[in-house]
Amino acid sequence: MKLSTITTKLRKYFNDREFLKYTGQFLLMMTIIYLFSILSLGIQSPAFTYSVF
Amino acid sequence: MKRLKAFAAALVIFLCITGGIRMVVMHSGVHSSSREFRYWYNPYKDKSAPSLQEALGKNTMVIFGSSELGHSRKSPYYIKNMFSEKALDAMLIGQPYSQDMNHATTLAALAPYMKSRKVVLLLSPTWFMGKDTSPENFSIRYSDSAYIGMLRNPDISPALKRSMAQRTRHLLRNDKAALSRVKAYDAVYLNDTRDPFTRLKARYYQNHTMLQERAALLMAEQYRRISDPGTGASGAPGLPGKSGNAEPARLHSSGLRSSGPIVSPGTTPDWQALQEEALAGVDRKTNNPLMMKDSVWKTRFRSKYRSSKELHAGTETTVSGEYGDLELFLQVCKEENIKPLLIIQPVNGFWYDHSGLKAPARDGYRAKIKDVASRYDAQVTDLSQYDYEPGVLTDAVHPWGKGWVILDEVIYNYYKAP
Repeated sequence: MKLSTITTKLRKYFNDREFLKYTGQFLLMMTIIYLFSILSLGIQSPAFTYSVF
Repeated sequence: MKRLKAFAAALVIFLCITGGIRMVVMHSGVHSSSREFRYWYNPYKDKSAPSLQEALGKNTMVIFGSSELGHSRKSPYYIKNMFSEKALDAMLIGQPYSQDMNHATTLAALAPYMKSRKVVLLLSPTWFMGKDTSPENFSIRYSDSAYIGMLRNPDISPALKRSMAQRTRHLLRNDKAALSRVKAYDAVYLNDTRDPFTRLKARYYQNHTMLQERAALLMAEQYRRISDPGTGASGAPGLPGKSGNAEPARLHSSGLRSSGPIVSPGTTPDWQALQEEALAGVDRKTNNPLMMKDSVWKTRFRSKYRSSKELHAGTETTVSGEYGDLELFLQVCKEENIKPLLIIQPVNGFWYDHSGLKAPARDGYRAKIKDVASRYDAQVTDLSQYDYEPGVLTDAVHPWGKGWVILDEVIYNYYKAP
């Protein structure tokens, strides 16, 4: 495909607000899920309790 | 159609972002070469086998334990505060619920990187009570990077790896996610599967968990810097003092020492005097029937004292699967030519007599530990003679000032021995 055709298509997508809105929503959802999955180890460490005695 | 294209575009951008996050997290410096890191009482440090490997110095001796490593950390007799770096170079590994199987796996992962071939294992009596290790407790302390390190250690025989893998799978039976990962690792590293899907799955799990462990460690380090900008961890009260001074440092009227590490290279501590000094510091704080720290008695034991009569009566002390895990730990030592020291910690004799686990039952698990150790020529130090001494324990099992002096002496003599 010619470079000018690619550029025209990309410009069309970037000017399409609805497309950008959907892309942003999907990206945000994926990023949140990903961050949660890599940081989940940090929220699961119980401390010592005296219940065992 | 537009949404599909938007999803595809988001996915491409997402993959670029995750690549960037991964690069930043994996290449961010963790201060693993510092003494502070080696003594840092933190679960995320213990889970990250690569960070522990990096932290090992030329003379570093690993001390495995559990919750006792987190008690009395501000005491001048706590191991980190007691010794200067040149007197004792040690790394503490252990958290509440860490037990033999966790430590056997971690040791197998670290052994190829250890220059010192000595390790200390602080044995807690609660590990050996009951029928077996709690799967939930094991799962909390299970580390993927340590497990993979064990599987990839060329010095460990396939038979031992299989035994450890089998036991790990049994202990993770209630944690389906971790079990699934372990099975994938076993398929690749133990059984050398050629199935590309399984290999891909194992590679994905390995990369992802390594990223998780690293991210958690970085967050923990940042939190430590914010909460304690001085040392980043709890340290001894007072200012650094002279090193190489054979005389004990002066005491404040509060009973706290006025200078830094008590033991420096070239000094021979007067352990008896240190024990008496530590005891003098707590003399007025044990006014209860269990001779434990008054504040712990009031907040944790007083309300349940009456109802806990014979609470532990009938508790099994010689049948636990934990003895098998201890054997696995010793087998790792044997195959790695590591000389272990097992320390059987004292317990609060008053508490356990009251709650029904009397001396004969307690002697039972001690005898069994010694029996297991004798089969591997492992050195054992039994501190049960301190079960009824004041100032040794803050509660049922955790060391106090004098207790730490006793442990310090045993560990230091072992470290210094040829």
